[in-house]
Amino acid sequence: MPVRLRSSHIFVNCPFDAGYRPIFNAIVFSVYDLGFVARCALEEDDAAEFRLLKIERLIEECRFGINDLSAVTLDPATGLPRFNMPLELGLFLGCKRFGPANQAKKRCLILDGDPYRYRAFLSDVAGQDIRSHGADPERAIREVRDWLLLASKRTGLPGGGEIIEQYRRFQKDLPDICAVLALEPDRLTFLDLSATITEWLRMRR
Amino acid sequence: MTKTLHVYRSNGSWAVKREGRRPETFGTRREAVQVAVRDGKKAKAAQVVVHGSDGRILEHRTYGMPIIQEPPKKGLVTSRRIAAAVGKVVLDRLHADPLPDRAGTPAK
Repeated sequence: MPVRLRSSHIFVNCPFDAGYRPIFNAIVFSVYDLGFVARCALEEDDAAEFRLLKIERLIEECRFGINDLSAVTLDPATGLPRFNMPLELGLFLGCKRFGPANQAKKRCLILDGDPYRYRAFLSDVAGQDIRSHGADPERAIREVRDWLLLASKRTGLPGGGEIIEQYRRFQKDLPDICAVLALEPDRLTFLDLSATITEWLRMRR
Repeated sequence: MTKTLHVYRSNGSWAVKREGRRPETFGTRREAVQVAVRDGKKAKAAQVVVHGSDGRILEHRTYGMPIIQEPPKKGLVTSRRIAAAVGKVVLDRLHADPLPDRAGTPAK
């Protein structure tokens, strides 16, 4: 029995470390503002399940994927690149290609910091939807919105400028919301961030 | 301009307010919601939010814009606490909003 492909769910394959947090938060915010659901390996806390199995299950459920390769850089400590993001992108593309018939509907966006850097380390992805955010969260929002408009064929989606304006207002409110919750904005878990974004959008967009 | 029409309790009556605009007040919640829904339906895109006394959402309606989906799972903080925290900040912002006068010029 094939797994149900959820047409509003988007697998967000992006780094979650502090330096990348502004891009990650902007992508998650735009996904929800556009009426979709952000899914991420960080939503799972069941240590009994192997990490790769969790990721495979998430990928299988999501019709869309946003993959950011900008963190594929050499780690100063080890001298090696981080390759989790390309691995998960490969799983997504493989699931679309070799999975049951319903998986052929999958669509994915590939983001990077520079427009043509991927050619030096992942040239086989040429021909996919590859865009650059230039390490700018607001540019990432525009790229996600423009891609999702075409990939989902949904109508009535807000424009990129409108989402950016909402995101700026959300960023102003977030420290006050976190103060009420006695939490630090930079340390919100993925699920708590998602719940805060959705509640804010329902009340203040 | 924001697309949200807020309905909330204010000094014993019910107010309908869009940020940056002067609030209208009504004797009952039902009247206030009727006016907010009428304005929401007239707009190209809008949402109507009825707030409880702690700011949380009692009623929510969307017109011509994407419906905000539920996140996949619950996090460490309960959704009730998050809703109350967001609601408090939103109501604080509404109360602090400088109201324009009837000609549309912001009040000094």
